[in-house]
Amino acid sequence: MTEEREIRIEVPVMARVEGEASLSIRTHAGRIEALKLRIFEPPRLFEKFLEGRDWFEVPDMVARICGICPVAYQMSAVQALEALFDVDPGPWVRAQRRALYCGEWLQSHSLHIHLLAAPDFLGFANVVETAQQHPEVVRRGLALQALGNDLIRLYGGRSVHPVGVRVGGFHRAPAMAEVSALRTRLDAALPDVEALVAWTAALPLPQDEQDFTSVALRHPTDYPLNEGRLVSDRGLDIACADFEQHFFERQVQGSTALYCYLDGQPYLAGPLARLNLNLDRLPPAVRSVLERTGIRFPSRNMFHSIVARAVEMLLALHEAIRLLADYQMPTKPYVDVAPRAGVAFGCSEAPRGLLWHRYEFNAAGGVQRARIVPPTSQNQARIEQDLHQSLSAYGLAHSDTELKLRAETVIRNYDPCISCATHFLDLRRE
Amino acid sequence: MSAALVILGVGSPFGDDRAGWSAAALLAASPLVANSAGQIEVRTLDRPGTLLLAEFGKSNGVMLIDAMRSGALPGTILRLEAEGVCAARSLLSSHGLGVAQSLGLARQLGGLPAQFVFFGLEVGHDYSGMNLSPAVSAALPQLVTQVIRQAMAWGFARADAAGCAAS
Repeated sequence: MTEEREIRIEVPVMARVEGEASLSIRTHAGRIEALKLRIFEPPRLFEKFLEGRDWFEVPDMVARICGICPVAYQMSAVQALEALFDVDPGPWVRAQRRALYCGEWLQSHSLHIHLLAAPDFLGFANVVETAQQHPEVVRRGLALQALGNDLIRLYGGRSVHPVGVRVGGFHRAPAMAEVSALRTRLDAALPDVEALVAWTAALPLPQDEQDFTSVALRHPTDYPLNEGRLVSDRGLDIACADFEQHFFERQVQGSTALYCYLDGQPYLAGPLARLNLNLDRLPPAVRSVLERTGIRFPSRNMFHSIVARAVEMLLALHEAIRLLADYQMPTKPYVDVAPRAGVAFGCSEAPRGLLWHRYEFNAAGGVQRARIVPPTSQNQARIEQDLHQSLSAYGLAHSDTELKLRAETVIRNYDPCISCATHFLDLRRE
Repeated sequence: MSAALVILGVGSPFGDDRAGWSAAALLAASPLVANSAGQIEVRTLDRPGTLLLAEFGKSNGVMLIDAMRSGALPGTILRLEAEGVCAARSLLSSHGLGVAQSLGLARQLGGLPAQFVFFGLEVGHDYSGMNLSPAVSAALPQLVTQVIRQAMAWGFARADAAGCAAS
């Protein structure tokens, strides 16, 4: 029997947030003949906006690129600029930046687990339906998201597009009383996040082992957020400054977004890749909770990403508690910075994966050029590869509705920046 | 501490999407708020998403003002109670997913404020200017009057507060 059909899935995105994506699948004789994920993000004019701006404007400008992970953009940027300007902000700033980043991981991961991913695995259309059956789980998730937001607010003044970060440190050091109050809440949340890890591991996740390359930062001692070398499970081990020698972005016909490849191949960035590569960097308390789930990592099942996210929430919580426990008021929350000409590189681990920045500065500290490679661009080719494998393994004999849901689930599993609108996925069969 | 009544203007800086912010600015400068002895607070939010839920828990009464796109004539004002917003799946404000889903979620979790009203202001169709379109701009005083009347009906404002809408 010859079966020929075309499925088109449109992923329009919330107005003014990210852009839109569509998925086209064409099958013939029971096989996928063509599959294309198109992400229509707004042109990344930020890189052009940055040209001609002063070095000290960069952290606040790049924070505006994303409403969910503004801290990641700030962290990659200040790291790049401080490396070029030969500035060491010292241990206090490094510790507080890590704590701030933990806040972003907490809020972003909790948002994704509860509002975007979990309904797929539980068979609900959205989080409102999830809340009907599991109100305590959703309530807990929202509280953890709020806790992460409050940790960002502690350092950044507000949780969306925080303004506390500057090149050389922070504009303001949180008061002891603020830190102490938040620490009490972080401590109290530990049982909740441990329960969340177990809850995600008990979800009816599809079994779908795939072959893929994991890429993440790796630090000599810590689970990576702000620092480390770029490594893969296929032998890559390079400094962030050497990114361009191995990673290439390509324009793909029909898509305004760039596809990023590692040595010509798709690769995975994000929580599962980080966990696969950094199991030995988890604190023992986190490791033991992970082991109790019975799920073995490194994992080749992409759907274990939701478990990896929950584990990273626990890691972030433990790290924030540790860092805030040692908190002391600094004499000054930043070091002075003098710009210089040259090329700056920075890379950090945004909640959804690697975020790489490159800047060229003149002697006065003016931005000459900027290049930003966000995680969604890096995962785009992998998502296509995953869709191809997942849908084939799932079986094309399924109905359009079932195929559409599985495709949505696969896409959402990566927590792409377009994920906020994927509930609007609309399937048209021609 | 939070006021008994919170009026939230949702929007962004551009074009008719400013409607919620512009209405909030008019209300914040009105005697309604000035004479409320701190009982009424006006705030602006930028695509709050789930952060809206946290706003609901802080006060007894919430009024939410947002730009919307429902197919009505530009400048049309729509007043909906919580049930209406949750039920109106096809009603998309420019932050539709956030507002409707957040309300649905709050209701499901028992977190809806005791008193809630949504005011939607229909945006100009195919309008792409940086400032408010004439139709939306012209509708703002009427929207402000409706908000003040609602505050009065809930017992938050004196009868003479309604006169401030046009000023």
